[in-house]
Amino acid sequence: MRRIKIAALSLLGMIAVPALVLISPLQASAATVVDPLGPPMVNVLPSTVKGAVSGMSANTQMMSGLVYKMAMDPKLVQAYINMQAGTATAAEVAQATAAASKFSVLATKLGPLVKGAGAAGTAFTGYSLGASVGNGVANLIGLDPQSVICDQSRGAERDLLAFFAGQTCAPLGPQEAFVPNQGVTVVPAGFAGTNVFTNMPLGAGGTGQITAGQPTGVAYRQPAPWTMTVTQTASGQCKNDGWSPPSLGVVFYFRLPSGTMLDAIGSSSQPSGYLGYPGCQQFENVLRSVVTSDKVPYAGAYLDHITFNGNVERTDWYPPGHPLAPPGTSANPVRTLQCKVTFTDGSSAVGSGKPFTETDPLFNPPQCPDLLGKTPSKFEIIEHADGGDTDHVLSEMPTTQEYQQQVGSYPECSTGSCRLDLIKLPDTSCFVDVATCADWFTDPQKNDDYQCKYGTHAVALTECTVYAPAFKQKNLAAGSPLGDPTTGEPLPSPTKTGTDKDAFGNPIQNPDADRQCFPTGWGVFNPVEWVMKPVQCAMQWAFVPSPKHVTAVQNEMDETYRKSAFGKAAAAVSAIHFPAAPTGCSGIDLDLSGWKTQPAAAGLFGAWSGHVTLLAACDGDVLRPYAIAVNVVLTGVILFGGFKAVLAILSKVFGYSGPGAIG
Amino acid sequence: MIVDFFIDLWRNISAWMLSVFPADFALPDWFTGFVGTLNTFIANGANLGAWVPWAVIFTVVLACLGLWVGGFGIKAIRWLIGLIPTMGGGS
Repeated sequence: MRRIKIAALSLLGMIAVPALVLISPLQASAATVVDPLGPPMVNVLPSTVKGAVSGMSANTQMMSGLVYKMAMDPKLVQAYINMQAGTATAAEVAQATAAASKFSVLATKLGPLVKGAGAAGTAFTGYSLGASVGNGVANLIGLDPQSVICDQSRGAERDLLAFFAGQTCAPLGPQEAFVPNQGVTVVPAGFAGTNVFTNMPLGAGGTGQITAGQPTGVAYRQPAPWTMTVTQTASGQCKNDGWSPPSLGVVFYFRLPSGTMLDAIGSSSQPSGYLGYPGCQQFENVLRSVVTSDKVPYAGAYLDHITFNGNVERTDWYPPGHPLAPPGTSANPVRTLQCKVTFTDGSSAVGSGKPFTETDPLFNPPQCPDLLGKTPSKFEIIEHADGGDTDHVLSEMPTTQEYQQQVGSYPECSTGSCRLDLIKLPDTSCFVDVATCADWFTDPQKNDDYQCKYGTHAVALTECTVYAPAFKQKNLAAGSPLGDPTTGEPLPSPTKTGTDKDAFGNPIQNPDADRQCFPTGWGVFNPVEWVMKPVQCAMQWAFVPSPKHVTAVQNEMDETYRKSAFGKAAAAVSAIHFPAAPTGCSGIDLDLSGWKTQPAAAGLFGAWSGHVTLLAACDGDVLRPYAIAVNVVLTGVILFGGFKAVLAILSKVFGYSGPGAIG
Repeated sequence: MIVDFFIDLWRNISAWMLSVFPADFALPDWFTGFVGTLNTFIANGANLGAWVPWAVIFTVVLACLGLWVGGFGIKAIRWLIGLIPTMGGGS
């Protein structure tokens, strides 16, 4: 008996569960009225968006960020400046063009997407976008920027254009590039009289003076190529003690964009009297130290500061714009990106991002201001520099006449929140009393019995033609509640146009986020959606790791590893630095200052700094010609040895037995 | 949740393995000193670039190494082919 009961219950369950699953969507669809459509979508902005757009979405922020990444690369900035001036080299043109292809973002307007015929067609388009984009229009102008930006970096399969219209970004024109940071002069004025010293004392080495002239030709973080010149003059009389001739060394320090300080590039000037040792008496010497960017053996490095090492004193010189430079220079101004909205009545409002400086690795996008119920006629993105520099308009986007007309006529629709409503006169919405409006479209007196409205504004009844089949239960159940905007003929059910494919194509979502696990909108009529969406949610819950959790684990593991023996050893090993191009000429600096402190050496060394440079062979150094000769000889020897080694290896591998072969 | 579980498992195992080593481990002075000395040595070598054609040396050494590795690969392939009957190996 018990077995019979169990079998009966099982049978009942087998029938009931599928029945519930099947009936549920039907019940839902039968009881649901189609959602009213949104306002007509119009072209808010012209078809080509220029420059950085306000921070309305991650997409546009990314676009701005890409532009500013270029700005952070001084070489590219210089290339652009040169291109504008018509002085760019072929390499610079290629460099700038390649960069433009990276940050250029293609843009279009809504119009070419799926705009139908007539005014009602625009309403239908609006519904499609509004329902599918989900968040509808952005918080500002009733438009989701993602729907107007054709971002080629996201790939065609993820681009909204491709999703809706089967189009790719390819037919659209590229975004126009602009030169950021135009307010910054590459070599800013005000070089003179900053932090340059004169008259280095000679100390015990002699009498007279050594003067370091004003460094010229370089600014802080100046992009290559550049040529920097420091002129040193020395005159006086040095002592003939053999150890402490007057000397002045110029050392250039460079820094990578990452902040790492690099090795120094140095040159030294010593009075000619020293060279004539022991006849070190009167001297008169002028030395120009010239360093060009191609001598800096580190890609992307920029001059950080210069140190003048004299016999007695040491002085650092910082270029204008350096954080340690004296005040009064502005090569690294504080900047703010602003979003300025100009309204049709002539007034304007400005929203700002957080301040940042040119040398910051990141920037802060602006937030556009509230529209205050007015009609915007123009959007501008402005790069504002504090300190009196002229504002630079990065982007200027006038709104279209179509958009202005709509916002002027239907201001309550400007946020995209108003809905197209069909009213059964005197004052009953068809979305409230569905049965009353079932045959409204065939009502011969419909012009007298019904009214079409956007928000509170009445519009032509033809605007509601799209609702022709919307209030008949059979159309709702069949999944075709909307009509052709022109004829009113029921449109095919979305279930027949690949919605199942869309459901399968949904991207993986964050399980921590709020998700739609059941169909909405047109998806309500799609049985596949009723299966796919819950299953997707369940599988995401089961298999997609929580980003928050993954990040927490990563941070914890990074910290644990960093504190471990392996982490410490890896950090120490990573500190080994190999220069990109080992072509220095400053020789080996030996620090022998410890000798001076020895009791036996007391008084012997005088003011000698304790540093000896061996084998320095830069331009102007005595050993320069010898270094060149040695370099040439060594090159020949190494090439000859390498050739012999290659022959030896070939003989081993292929049995080569010609000249130079082994055995 | 399932992947989260394996991530946690991996995190716990890794943390346990790292915890086996002494927590107060500090790199010996000779090691850090060696890195500093090595950096100085490298920097001095780079500053002798006017005398020594480092670029030529590196190029020649790398070329020889590449050729040697390539030759070793060719010999290895020839040896492997020789193992195939009727292609040079015994049959």
